[in-house]
Amino acid sequence: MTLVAVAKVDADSMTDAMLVRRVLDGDPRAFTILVDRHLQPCLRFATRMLGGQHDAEDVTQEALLRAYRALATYDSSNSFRTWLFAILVNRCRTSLLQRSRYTRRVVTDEDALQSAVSGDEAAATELRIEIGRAVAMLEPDQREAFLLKHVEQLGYDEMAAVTGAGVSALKMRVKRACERLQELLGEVNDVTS
Amino acid sequence: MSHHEAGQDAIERDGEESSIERVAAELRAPVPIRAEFRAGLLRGVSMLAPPGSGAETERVVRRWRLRPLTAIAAGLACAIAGGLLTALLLGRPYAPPSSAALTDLTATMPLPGESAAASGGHATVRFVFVAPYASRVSLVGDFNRWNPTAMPMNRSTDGRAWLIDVPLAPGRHVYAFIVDGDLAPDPAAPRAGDDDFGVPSSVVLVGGAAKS
Repeated sequence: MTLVAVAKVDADSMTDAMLVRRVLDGDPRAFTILVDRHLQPCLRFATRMLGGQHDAEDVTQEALLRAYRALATYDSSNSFRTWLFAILVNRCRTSLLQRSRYTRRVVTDEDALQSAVSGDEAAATELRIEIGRAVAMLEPDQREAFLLKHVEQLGYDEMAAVTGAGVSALKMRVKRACERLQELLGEVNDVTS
Repeated sequence: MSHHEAGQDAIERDGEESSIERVAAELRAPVPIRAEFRAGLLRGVSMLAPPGSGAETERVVRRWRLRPLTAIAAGLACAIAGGLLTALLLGRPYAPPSSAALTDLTATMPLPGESAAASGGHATVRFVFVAPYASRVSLVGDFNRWNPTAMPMNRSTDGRAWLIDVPLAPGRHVYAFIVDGDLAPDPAAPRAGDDDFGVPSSVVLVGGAAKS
């Protein structure tokens, strides 16, 4: 029992780059730790970007499998998260292109609405759905920039590395996304504030 | 711009920032991670060769991702060809199979894209999971990339068990069942000894030139 706890502490204290090194040295279990560290933000970004759990799981799985295969190409002087997000963002773009139209599944989240019991919860759920709907209505490049900046909280330099776009272009996308969101959510904000 | 206007602008800007922050905070809420999704993902990783080894990475057989129409068309072609051959050999007329029979037949047909010689070693394996109270059972394994939606199982006529017939290439295959969303190994089969990623799974060996 003690040994397990010690091993867990060791793993938790290892940086992403150290874990990558361990995988490359022949310990595939180290990748499980990387997956557990990054699965939530990856799946969250993909869910917000694509609007549906099923598609989000597909692209997240694809991105992580690609990352594993390409692990030897990861440069440990850069952030693993940035490197992984670059792969994920590409997968999301490809998925959106293949779909050719963005179906706003968030809108049909009736289950969430019905499961809310109190008035406050119902209002919160409704707000969440409205936000999902508004985010879905953003242009994909604006949605991508907004999510990276405000939800995943990447810096503009990181965002540039992830998306391949310039910093000033990204700032403009984020600004436009914010303006559009405020426009779309104006009525909801008026009601809830 | 007067002091008053500048102040008003600042207030509006603060208001905009706080409303955007509210939106962002809502979007930062964690999304649910399904256990079977994580397990399938890790199992998918375990199917790959170690990164940087330069080996062809996937042991997984991609041919399972065929479009249904392609599979049905190929199955139909194989069925008719097989029937004609039988008719020639036995000297009696060939009757095309019914659609119900064809459904069964496609499950045991050599897979499209394979040569007859290469597909000769396939064997149909019936997977059975006894779960009378389950509402949904599917089969996942290295043969379908641990895709939980690829192979839904059918309830047996007595309602007690779940069945699916799968043609498998010779060798060792690791698999598990997803029972109402939970991953379960086959209680009637040996457990996989290479649970590198902590996923409970079982092993089936198909005869022929077994691979490790």
